[in-house]
Amino acid sequence: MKKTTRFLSWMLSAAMAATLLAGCGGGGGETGDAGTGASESFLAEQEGVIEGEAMTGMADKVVVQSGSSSEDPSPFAPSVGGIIKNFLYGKLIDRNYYGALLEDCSMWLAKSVTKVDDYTYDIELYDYITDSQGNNINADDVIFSYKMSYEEGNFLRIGSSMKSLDKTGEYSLRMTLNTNAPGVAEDLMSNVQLDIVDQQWYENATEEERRKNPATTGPYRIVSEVAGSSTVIEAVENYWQTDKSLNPPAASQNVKTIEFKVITEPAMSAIALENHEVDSIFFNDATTLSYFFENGAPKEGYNVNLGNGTFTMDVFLNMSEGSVFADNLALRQAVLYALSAEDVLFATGNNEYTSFVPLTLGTDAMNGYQEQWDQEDYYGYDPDKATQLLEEAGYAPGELTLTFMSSAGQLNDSGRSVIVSNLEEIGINVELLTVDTALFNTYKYDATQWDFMIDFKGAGTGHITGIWDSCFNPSGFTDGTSVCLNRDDELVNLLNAVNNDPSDENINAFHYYLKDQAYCKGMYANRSIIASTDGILEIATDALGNPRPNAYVFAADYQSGQ
Amino acid sequence: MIRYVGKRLLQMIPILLVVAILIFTLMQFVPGDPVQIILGEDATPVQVEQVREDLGLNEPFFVQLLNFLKDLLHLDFGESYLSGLPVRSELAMRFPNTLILAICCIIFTVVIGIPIGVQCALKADKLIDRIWLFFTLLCSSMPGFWLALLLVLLFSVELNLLPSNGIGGPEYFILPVLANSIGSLASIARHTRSSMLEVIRADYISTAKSKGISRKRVIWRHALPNALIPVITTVSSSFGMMLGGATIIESVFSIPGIGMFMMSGINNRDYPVVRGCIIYIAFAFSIMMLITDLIYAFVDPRIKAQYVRSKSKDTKSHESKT
Repeated sequence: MKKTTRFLSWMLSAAMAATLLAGCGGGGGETGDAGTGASESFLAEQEGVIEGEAMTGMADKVVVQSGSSSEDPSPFAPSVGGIIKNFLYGKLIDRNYYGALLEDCSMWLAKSVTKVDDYTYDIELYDYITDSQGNNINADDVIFSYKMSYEEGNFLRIGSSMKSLDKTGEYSLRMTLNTNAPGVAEDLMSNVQLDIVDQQWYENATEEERRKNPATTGPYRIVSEVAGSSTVIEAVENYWQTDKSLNPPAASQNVKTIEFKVITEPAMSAIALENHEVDSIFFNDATTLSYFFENGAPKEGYNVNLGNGTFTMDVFLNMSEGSVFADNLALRQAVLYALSAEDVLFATGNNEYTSFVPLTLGTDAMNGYQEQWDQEDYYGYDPDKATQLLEEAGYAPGELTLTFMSSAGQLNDSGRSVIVSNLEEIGINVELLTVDTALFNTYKYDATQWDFMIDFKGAGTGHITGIWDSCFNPSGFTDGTSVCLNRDDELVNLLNAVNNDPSDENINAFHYYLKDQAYCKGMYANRSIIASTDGILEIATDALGNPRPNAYVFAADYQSGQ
Repeated sequence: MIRYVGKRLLQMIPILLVVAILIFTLMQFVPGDPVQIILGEDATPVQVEQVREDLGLNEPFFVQLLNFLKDLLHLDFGESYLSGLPVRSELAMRFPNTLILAICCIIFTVVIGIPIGVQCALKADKLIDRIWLFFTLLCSSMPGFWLALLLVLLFSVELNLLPSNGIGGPEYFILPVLANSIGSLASIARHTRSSMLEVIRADYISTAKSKGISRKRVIWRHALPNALIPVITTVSSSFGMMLGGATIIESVFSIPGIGMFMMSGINNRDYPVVRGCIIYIAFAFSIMMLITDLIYAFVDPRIKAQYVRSKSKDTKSHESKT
């Protein structure tokens, strides 16, 4: 009896240990190297294109992960991080890449867009646009759609940057802006939050019809929707633009049916792709990437697209009156030199493929980025210099304590630890203030809460001036200051100059002034990554790096789920 | 009995009212501005102010509370700040998924957990009892999300038998039910064991045995119904919790239920969603507690007798008055 008990105990222990090992090792064994094998280059290239014979006609079906469980496909419903509406509702133009200006954009519902002056654009619509239910779309519908996208859909730039949108003919309009900042007009005409629909249909449709069977001007229409779980869309037969050569990539119909399957957990989306439950997923973490990508190339059976970094994680110093940094350039420089962006990048679970260190406040993906900045030192990690600058700033080691604020959802504990140890290395003590996203968005405007903070910033327009504008344009802040809680008139003048004339000279003038003042430093930028099965030969993305499955190039023998 | 149910239902009103006032007040005083989350980085101060005004966030606290309670009387939880959809309809859309998951979980838990507990009690301190005790300890120690991932790795990735996420046919619920039930199954098995042990050592069981009643009949007719009384509380509490949505399990398996909905509401500081979910959970839990009390009456003749006594007392006093 005793022997049997002992034997069973051993068996159970072994089973338990095996279970534990299986749980801990499920794919995890392959995750470490990518993160620790710091590559010389931080600019990985993988454009999501693999060799193979492409399908000539339309593929039957593709299943794509959707990361939003609250997306409502009705026109003008806020997109809540979803992408489904991108395929349902047409825009005036389609940006071919992030930050593309008008000359590099494809026309979509607009037949032509003419820049009359810096603030005025004449738009001519095709006179044969019909939605999926056969309703004709004219200038009145477009004006109505802009109004509704602003009022209902939170497309805020319409309210802040557009002065008027007037009908000049049955199929022509004039758009007048109150800013001539680069990329704003293009964003207004192509933003994913703009849904163009027929006014009469919208006003007569019930809530349910708007959600379940909307009249779409884009290349797809809804077939079925299970709220929070899946949405199936199907290519519109007899799409209004019959001349395929005039269709922008956004209006492609390379696949008949697209199913969006809601999977919010990155680990589960990776499993779903491995299992062929979905054909394509998107994410931006190194662990998920390690399942499908190694040694700088996709693993067998997969295709991977490493997109541009459109958002940067930046450190900002509190420059408000009376703050430790306000009149102490040496201290600002000491802090920026002390921070190792590369170490923070790896500590946050990223690696050289998922992220890179930006060399200014913005990334090379943004229009207006100057190539020579790549060769410059933008407060690269240099603890010796930082120590010397701290002394120049009048602080002895251990004398200064700074409060570092970060959002719990944006930066992990390891990232925070690296920042703390970087500063302690040069003799600055750090007090952590870690708050949730909502509180962070309140405290970041409160000068009494923090001395320096880390925050995500992006350029909505895709032009580098967009990120500068969002950080330093006083009109964006209730008290007329900036993200650093100060108002630097010289910086504001340079910003106005670059917004009025985004010439290389003005861009460099702003960049170098900002750098000299040492107000902030870019830490890392995340790429948007898409992985798919190798039946997808070319992974298409929109200007923001979101998947565009309707424009994917499929292999000749492609079948969803295989 | 009907009167009792009616009385209990009426008692739920102040409970729900207190929950509603409490959650509204707590969320009101949590620092952080939901408008910043709704509008994001592009919003100008004027736009932020406009949205605050539209949402009534500039009104004094008591005005906001009164408006909230007034809407609540019409079962109107407001509209989600993010999606703009009515919270009531969003809850209604998600409720069936949570309900299916909860019912399957509780059936699985009861059908497996109670017989294990009975078996352990009958074989107390024997090898089989120790194995089950070890197993239940292991199960209750395992975090649900970890077990969920293990199950997915085994049944979806390795064996390719079951889907790893989403909803559809019954096969989509197998793994979530397993992952969500194991913890409560272990707890119910242990409760049943200890309760059963107490009962089978009672005098009336010895009397029943001495009368020559078969062992099977003693256990299933005499011991088990009495042993089940404390277990019913555990089962109904578990079911109440499950009806509130298995937040982690729903997120892991991408089941669009109440838990996942509440999680997204909390993350996005979507006040109406969080309030709606919590009031719904309080309601579901109160109903479950009422059902538990009614089940007690059916299982325990002493409680049933109390109902009958109070009813006859009421009838007598009514007659004497007339």
